[in-house]
Amino acid sequence: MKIEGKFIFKVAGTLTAISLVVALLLGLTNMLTADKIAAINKQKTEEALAKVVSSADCEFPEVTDVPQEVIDAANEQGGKLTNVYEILVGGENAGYAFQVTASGSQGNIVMIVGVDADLTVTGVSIVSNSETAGIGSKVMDNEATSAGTGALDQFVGKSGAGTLVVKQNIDAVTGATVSTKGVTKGVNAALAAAEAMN
Amino acid sequence: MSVTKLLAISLGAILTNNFIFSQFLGICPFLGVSKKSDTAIGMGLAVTFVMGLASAFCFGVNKILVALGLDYMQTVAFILVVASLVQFIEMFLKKSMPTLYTALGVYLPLITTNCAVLGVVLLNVQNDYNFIESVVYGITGGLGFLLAIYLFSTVRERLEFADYPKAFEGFPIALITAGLIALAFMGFSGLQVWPM
Amino acid sequence: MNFNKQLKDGLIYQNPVLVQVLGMCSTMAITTSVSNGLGMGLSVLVILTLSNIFISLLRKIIPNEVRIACYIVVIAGFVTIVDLCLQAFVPAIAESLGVFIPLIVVNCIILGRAEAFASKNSVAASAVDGICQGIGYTAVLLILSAFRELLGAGTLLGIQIMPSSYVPANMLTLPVGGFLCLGTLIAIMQWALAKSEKKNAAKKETEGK
Repeated sequence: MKIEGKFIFKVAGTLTAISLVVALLLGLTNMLTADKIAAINKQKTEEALAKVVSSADCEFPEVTDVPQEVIDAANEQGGKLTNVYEILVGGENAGYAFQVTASGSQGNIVMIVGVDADLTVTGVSIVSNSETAGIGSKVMDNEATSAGTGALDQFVGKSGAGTLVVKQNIDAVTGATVSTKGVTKGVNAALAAAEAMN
Repeated sequence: MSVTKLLAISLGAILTNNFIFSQFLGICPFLGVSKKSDTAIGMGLAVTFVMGLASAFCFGVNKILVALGLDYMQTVAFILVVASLVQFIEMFLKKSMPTLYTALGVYLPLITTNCAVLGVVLLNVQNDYNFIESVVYGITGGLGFLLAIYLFSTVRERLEFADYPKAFEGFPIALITAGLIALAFMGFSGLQVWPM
Repeated sequence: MNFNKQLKDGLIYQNPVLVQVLGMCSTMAITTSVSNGLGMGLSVLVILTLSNIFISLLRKIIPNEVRIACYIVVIAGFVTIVDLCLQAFVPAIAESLGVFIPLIVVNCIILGRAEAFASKNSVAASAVDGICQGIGYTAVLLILSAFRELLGAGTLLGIQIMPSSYVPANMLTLPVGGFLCLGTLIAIMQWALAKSEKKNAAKKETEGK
């Protein structure tokens, strides 16, 4: 089958032309929406940060130069460390808040874990997740575990990186063990990172 | 990246988070090609192959897009990669395995629109897998699809002779059967041999 | 371009999910709650209409050999635009729909209508077709998700409807529930269509006599 140059030109040319027009439209939409999306993400993180510390008058400047051993320490516990924020209460350092990603039951759970200067957890809040509605989402919404406390509240006051294990010292929400394990991994990772920060 | 993580990904893709029975990806060809076991196996293998290759290529494409700050072009770029891959495989099968080519018929180009293929590529990005993990997820996801479609085809072959209300003929009874298999697969959800 | 006929087709006789059996992946995965179903249905309606219009506009220019690739590029473009808009203006819906938004690209309905209708008809007719098929799809999503959310979680649009003594049938919001509900709905549709066909055939017979 002899393929004429003109034919290839017409076919490839049309496809390329259409692709370019589409790419242009996309670039335009991206320009219009990128800032808004970034602002929404920032707001989500700020809300999650405010939830992990109980005192008012807190600031959370981001730590830009995170040492590699801190990231590695978190990795070893199964959590990927993406951001570190310093917790400043009244201008004084009161620990760190770690944005950690750990795998849950239906994909990744992004959470913020606050750890104070004594290496104990001050709070856990979820930034984003895709857990099953009505099951894993119960953990994300801080519903009561089999022991009665909130699934996320139970981490407050705990310490010891790597020592938190579901069914031993952490209670699971009935039917949502994997999601609870995901959050536990993240908290262990944050505790390990806090140790390495000092 | 550790071997246990790869094993955990594989176990997840085949059993606990099966692409068909847990994640609903790849239903159309699942229902369309599962009437006979041998076509089902052929389709399953073809899809596995495409998913593995697509994961590999799209990993590279994604790295380039992210480096250029063009994240929003992911969907367009990925689907173009998948479409071209399927085109090549079609030409390859036509030359070297013509019987399989004719058996798959119109369903071969339909692998392009198979949610499982685009789905696995998008999930690789979402889960932030590295290259080996992406390819492993792609291949084992395909194997999970193969397992699902083969199991289902054996059931459907027996369904031909079963007695059910006329209104359920065709897709409804197939869907209900698939639902029951999905219920069975739910039993795997507690299976965590390797921590992930 | 007959709006009434196309609407009836989209809702009943050529319903994309229940009759043409297309777009099942998203139908079963998304219908766990009414807000998800509504969000997805409207997104598909918008993308379907836009892509039908575009492809109909370009139908004389696109060479036959690369038509599928061209359709896919156009559809992917519109999907990304809708994805970005959802993320910017309704982030909660974007998050719960998750990976299924980009998967609208391979939603057989959109590619199917592009191939079967938009490539052969005028822009106006294609636009109407997109809207009607989109309405049919959204209707199915709403019915399924209302059923699954109400009985599976006791809520509708997040508002508790069932009395607190009702123990929700969680199974309905799981994959198995999706398969069973969709299968039953298609069976009901097939039964209804067969019945109306029988009625029409009987009517024609008595008229012919």
